[in-house]
Amino acid sequence: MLEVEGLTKQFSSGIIKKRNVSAVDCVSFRIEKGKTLGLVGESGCGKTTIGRLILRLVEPTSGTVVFDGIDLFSLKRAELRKIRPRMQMIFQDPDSSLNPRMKIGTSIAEPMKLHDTVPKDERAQKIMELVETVGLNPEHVNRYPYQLSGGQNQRVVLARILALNPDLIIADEPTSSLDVSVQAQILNLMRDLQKKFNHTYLFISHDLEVVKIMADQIAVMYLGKLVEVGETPDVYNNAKHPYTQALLSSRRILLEGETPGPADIPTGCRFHPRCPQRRDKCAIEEPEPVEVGEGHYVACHLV
Amino acid sequence: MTGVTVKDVLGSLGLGILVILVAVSIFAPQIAPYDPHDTYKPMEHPSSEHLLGTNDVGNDILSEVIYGTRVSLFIAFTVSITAIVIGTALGLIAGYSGGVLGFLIMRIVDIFLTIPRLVLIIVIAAFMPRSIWTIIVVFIIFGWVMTARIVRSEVLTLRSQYYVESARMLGGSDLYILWRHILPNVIPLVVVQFIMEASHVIIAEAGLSFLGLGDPVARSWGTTFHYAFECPNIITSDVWMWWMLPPGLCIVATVLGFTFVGYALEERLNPKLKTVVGMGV
Repeated sequence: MLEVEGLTKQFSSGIIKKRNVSAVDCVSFRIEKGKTLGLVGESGCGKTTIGRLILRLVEPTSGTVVFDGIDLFSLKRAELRKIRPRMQMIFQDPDSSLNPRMKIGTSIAEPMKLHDTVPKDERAQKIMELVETVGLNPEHVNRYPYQLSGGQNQRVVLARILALNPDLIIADEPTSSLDVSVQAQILNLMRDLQKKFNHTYLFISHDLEVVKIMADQIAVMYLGKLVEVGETPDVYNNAKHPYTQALLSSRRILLEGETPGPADIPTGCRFHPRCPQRRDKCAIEEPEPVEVGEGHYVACHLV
Repeated sequence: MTGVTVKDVLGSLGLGILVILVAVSIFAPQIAPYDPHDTYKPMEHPSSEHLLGTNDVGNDILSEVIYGTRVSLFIAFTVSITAIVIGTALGLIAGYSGGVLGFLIMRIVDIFLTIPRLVLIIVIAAFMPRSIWTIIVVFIIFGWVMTARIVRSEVLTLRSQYYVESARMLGGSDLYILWRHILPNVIPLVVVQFIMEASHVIIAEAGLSFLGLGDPVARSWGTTFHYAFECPNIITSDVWMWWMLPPGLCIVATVLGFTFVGYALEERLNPKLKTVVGMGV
């Protein structure tokens, strides 16, 4: 369904003295239809950038993304706009995902108008249908986003996306700004919708507990690179990369120092300055991903 | 929304002043006792026939001031509407497209900002035919700059909002996003900017006309002021009280009206926008 190969994004700054900052470096993974890939990593590691790159909200430096057999990066603007409805993204902050000056109903109707998927006279009914599907009340339609809670707004965002019948949904920390009790409701809703509509999810999060519930596969990211990819049980029960192990340890294996910024990436393995098991080799040579089990890849010199 | 504040009172007062002035300018022919170009006995003191007396060529001063409202407000509104539309359009383009075009627009803005506006306006106006259209054009040339700058910076903020990104993701074109998502959210700023520009133009136009660069036929308040000032003994005798004071008070009232309305609106429109956008962040 979605194949990402060697995806790289470098941001350059400065006019005279160009400085490149690599946010995403040679990331590859694939997601099967109807499955969920959980993309995990700390904030600033490039997770969100990957989501934006796939949707081409940000233009990539190199790499390919093939969505349902279509090479997205070769599309022209007009072709891209035609395919956009099939891939949607849910953002971190539901309150600012909706135009504060638009009523909820207008926001939900927006994609239908833009793509003319639903005839005019059936739109009102379709809106009601969607509102019900995501568990909102019909009277919410005439309210403004600031009159609803964060969880309700995230439901509105989902309703709006459903109007387009997308195949791929990229969820960028969809619950991180919500209360814990509301988080569970939204996650359950997303899982129900996936079952019902056979959505493919790329679920971006820093919360391993959430990802464990949601994802079939997990990709762990550190400083713009994937360090470990595998089926969820494999990664949880048999983590090979020291970074994954540290993330998973309930007592938290204490990592030395802080994550370096993407502007000064360490040589060799990016994780080596903080790695409790580092060797001399780690500072010099960058590890390549190695298959340690079926579909379980780890980029570390120790395996 | 919560109780009546000082700002609300001032705002209503300002709005009241502006409504009266606009009504006066629209119904000038009905209100004014005489045609401002008709001549009577010159330099009459106020009387029941000529409430504010007559000037050096015998025009009824009250009628001149009433018709002057028309000229002054026409210039103020024409200039500010046009300048704000141009400024908003350029600000939207510069803020949304960025790139070379945005860079160019902003450098032009920078150049305009370094020019002392009123001095250059005086120079240009001095070399062009004396007409209200000269004044209007000259003010528009300089009037759009600040708006473009302010709108651009607001668009830069809005552009990074998730709902703008969502609209792009939903497949909205650039024009659609600008029109539907960005413009409605810069309108409050633009309205305040419009009011500030209008009040600025009232003063600047009065200044320009006072210097004798105004239209001698369509007399604004500033022009009336100018001719009064040219008259010998205007200050030493009582004449200034009915010839200079009324147009002067009109100018002050208009500027106060605009300022009060702007003051009230700025509070009302901006924080609302900010709190709504910023909620839950």
